Amino acid sequence: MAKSGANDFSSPQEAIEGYLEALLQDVADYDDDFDQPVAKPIYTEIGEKHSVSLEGGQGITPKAELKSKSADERFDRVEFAYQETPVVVMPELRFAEPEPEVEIPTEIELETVEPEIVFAEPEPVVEYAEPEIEQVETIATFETSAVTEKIDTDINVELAPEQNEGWTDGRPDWAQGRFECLLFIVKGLKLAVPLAELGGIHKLEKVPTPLFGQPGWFLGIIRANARNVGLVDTAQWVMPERIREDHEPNFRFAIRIHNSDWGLACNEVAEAISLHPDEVKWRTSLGRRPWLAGTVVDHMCALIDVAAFARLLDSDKVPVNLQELTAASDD
Amino acid sequence: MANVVQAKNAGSSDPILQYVTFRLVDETYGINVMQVQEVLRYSEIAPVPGAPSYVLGIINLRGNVVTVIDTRQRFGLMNAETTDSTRIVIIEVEKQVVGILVDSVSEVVYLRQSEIETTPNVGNEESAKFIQGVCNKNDQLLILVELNKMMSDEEWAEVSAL
Repeated sequence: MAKSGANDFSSPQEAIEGYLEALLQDVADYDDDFDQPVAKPIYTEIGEKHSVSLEGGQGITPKAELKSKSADERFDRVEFAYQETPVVVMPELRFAEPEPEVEIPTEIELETVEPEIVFAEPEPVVEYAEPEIEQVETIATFETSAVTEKIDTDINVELAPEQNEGWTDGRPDWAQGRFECLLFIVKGLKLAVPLAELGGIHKLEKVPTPLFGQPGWFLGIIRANARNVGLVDTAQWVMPERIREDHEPNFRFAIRIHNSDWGLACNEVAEAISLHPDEVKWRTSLGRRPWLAGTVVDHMCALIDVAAFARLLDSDKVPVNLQELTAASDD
Repeated sequence: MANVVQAKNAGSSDPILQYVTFRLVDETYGINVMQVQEVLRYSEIAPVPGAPSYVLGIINLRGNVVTVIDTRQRFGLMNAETTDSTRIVIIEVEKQVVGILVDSVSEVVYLRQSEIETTPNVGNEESAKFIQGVCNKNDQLLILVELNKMMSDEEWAEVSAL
């Protein structure tokens, strides 16, 4: 009897369930226990209903137990009621007979159990996911022209989280406050790299060692700081549309990317500048230049997301022929 | 010498490897010495009608017919005239004895396994797979070639049928 008062409930739901069980138990046992001098539940009606079980082992010292955040004042109220003589207690025992107990479970079932059933079935979410897959397959099978657009879109969507790695609030992590940049020039075009992601600047005293079977934009390997660095023809990446047959990669410097075995070839290294994040027009979409972090209008230069560039070079999605890629994008 | 190297390698987690180096254009390449049988001066190579483009022809090596591979063509490099330094390196690959034509043969170098570094592989050409790795030796980058991958199984079969 009065089991509800002996349990600890971690959530209101469990409390209600325990409450119900206790009530049901009380109902079941009520007839058997009715003759015993023990407590019977009664209810207060202040917005909610709470069980009050009385344990009157001797029939003299009733104890009230309430399960509710606002139970204290009611507790006081009830306790105050029970502080009166046992004569007052006796009528309550009569009112707590099966009738109110039968009413309460039905009320609580309507309020709590039914919403549980509704929220406990997430299957509709799975059903929504399946049609999406079917739709992609269908498009890919029958509509050739639409497939390319669809796939491109999908790739962009897939790449978005990877390429925006290290970005917060629409800008790189190193650009959350004022940051320093190094300006350098590639075939007359001014570019900028954040000093935070700059591994080093190396003068190209020897021609890079070419490796056969590699794309044209891969100039070869240089030895820098006791490590082999793959040198990238930055001009072919940044302005592939301007690269002609007679393009000569006569670069003088290599800008090594921090924590990477890649370097960007350039003609000249200019000065370092300090930029406020608001001075940069940050990229909002990836497009076909994921290496571009943004543009700096005041300095008329492009700011390179070197980390994304290195990730792209290390990935298996790195394009081989940049000119063809550009031409295909323009078409 | 090979015994010395083997003795040094016994129980070593970083074995010493021997590579024969040769030059093509301006670069130095290395091939595993265990696959090299001998190095020949350039001699007349008899062309074989209907042979694949990467086959220069055949030579007579002490009564045995040996197919000579055009290494420049295989590596995607420009053709060049033969010189006094031109050599034919006789190698054994895939249980076949073939010759590869190179600009010159330099030396045998000793490399530790740990000295071999991987290279960025951003190419999708078949020849990119030939590169085993690179090693910086004497302030020079040595490109190590994996001869087994220099041709596909079909191509090796094609060569053996000549």
